[in-house]
Amino acid sequence: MNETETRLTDELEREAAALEVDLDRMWSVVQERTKPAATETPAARRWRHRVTPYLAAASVAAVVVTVAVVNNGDHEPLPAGQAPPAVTKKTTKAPAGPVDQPVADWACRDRTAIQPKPGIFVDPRKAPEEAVEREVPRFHFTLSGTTGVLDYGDASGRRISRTELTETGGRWRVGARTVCTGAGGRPSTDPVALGKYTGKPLPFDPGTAQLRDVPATGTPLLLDDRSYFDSTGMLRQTTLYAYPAKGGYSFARIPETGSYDLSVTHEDQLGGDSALVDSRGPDATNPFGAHAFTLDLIISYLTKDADVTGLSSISASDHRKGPAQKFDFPGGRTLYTVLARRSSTATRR
Amino acid sequence: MAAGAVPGDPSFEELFRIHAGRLARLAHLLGADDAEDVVQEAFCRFFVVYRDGQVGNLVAYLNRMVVNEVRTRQRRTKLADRKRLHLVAAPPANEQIERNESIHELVRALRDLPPRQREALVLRYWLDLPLAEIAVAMQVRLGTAKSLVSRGVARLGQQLEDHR
Repeated sequence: MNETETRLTDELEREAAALEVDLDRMWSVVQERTKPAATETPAARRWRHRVTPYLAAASVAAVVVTVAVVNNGDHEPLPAGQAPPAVTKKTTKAPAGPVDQPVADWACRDRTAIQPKPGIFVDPRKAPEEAVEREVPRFHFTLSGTTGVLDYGDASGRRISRTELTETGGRWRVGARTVCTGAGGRPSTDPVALGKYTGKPLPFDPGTAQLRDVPATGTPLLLDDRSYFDSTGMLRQTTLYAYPAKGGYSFARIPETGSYDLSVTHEDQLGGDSALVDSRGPDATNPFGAHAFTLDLIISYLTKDADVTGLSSISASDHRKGPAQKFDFPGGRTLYTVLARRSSTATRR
Repeated sequence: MAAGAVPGDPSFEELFRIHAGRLARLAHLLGADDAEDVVQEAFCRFFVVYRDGQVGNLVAYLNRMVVNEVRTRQRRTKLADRKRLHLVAAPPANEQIERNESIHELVRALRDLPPRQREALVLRYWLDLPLAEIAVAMQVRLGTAKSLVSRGVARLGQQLEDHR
């Protein structure tokens, strides 16, 4: 440890020790707030767990309809005949986890196989942590002897991935997974060239962690918006912006995928975005993280007076040329981008 | 014992008694204005997953919940502050000076760091977590966690130099 680290450790310790914590009072509050759930019978709890997503959806739908109707009448957005709800400090919403129900046939035509890191196990007695974390709507284990499969399903109950399982020493080891992918094995269901985005791009969010660390100093530029399948087979959307930052510019991907780049690319320097999505590494909760599903590599160059004509990318395997674009960037500058397409490793089944 | 708790696991109350104090201090060091409230909220949310036996590493999960809860509150506060301007009563000057002097120099500098760097440094140098666990708690890649720690230390070191 250097001097800064040693001092920091000491000062943090002193600062933390100076805080007085009233554990008994806190425990009373926690006990009070968790009391109804703690007194449930196990059967009732399981039933509620299964219907929670439907109840939550129905509640939201009811609220939306009510508010819409009342708003049409130019009234305050309150349900008719009801007093304004009492202001409460906070509420604890039970997360709508995946439900254990049989999964029907495949939801997608194009699929690919991916491999987990070795030594990852699941417990068929409960929802996989990965499914909870990634909000997969449905899961189902089918076990027979020492082999089995784990299916994930979308909201309509159709299969989005199937994972092979093998029993080893009383535990179920995760094997190969077949997962929905885009046409031709590409991650996107609707791949589009940079700058030629379609649909509804996700809005630029200054509240993301990256934007708090590397704040925007000007108007962001929308570069790309597309959908892709993550490692569970879930269909997701990602939108890419370039934005001016102190000293140059940065890329921001919305929503954040758990990792982001803190660097700023300076003017008249070659930059880029690896466009890695689904990038969290494999761990107990994410056995297929950091798999091969990446979007295209984006190479970029920001300049004020240079005329860039030779920025291009050609695939060595299929000789396809990546599309190049030119954007007007804040500050009278021009941002050149080129898409380096990645070769596909997926197989259609 | 909470209904649904896995047999052989420590009870929910035991977990609370063991970890709540440490987590409140973690929330405080991360900049939470209401550290106890953060931990209460985290434990209420944690109860739902704990009851269903969905959590593998309880301590790592609790750390992550507290980090997330502090972030969420800070984001809300920041948004609320943007929407309205406050007139606040400032403490008398001498009182303010005394208060500032009571805060350790580096901890004060820590508060000026970007939130992610601050989180990384607190997790590293107060909780003594290895980089892999910092990455899990912050939900970032290992390389990002490493970068946040090294940049944070470098920046604090620079501030120390500047004050000399």
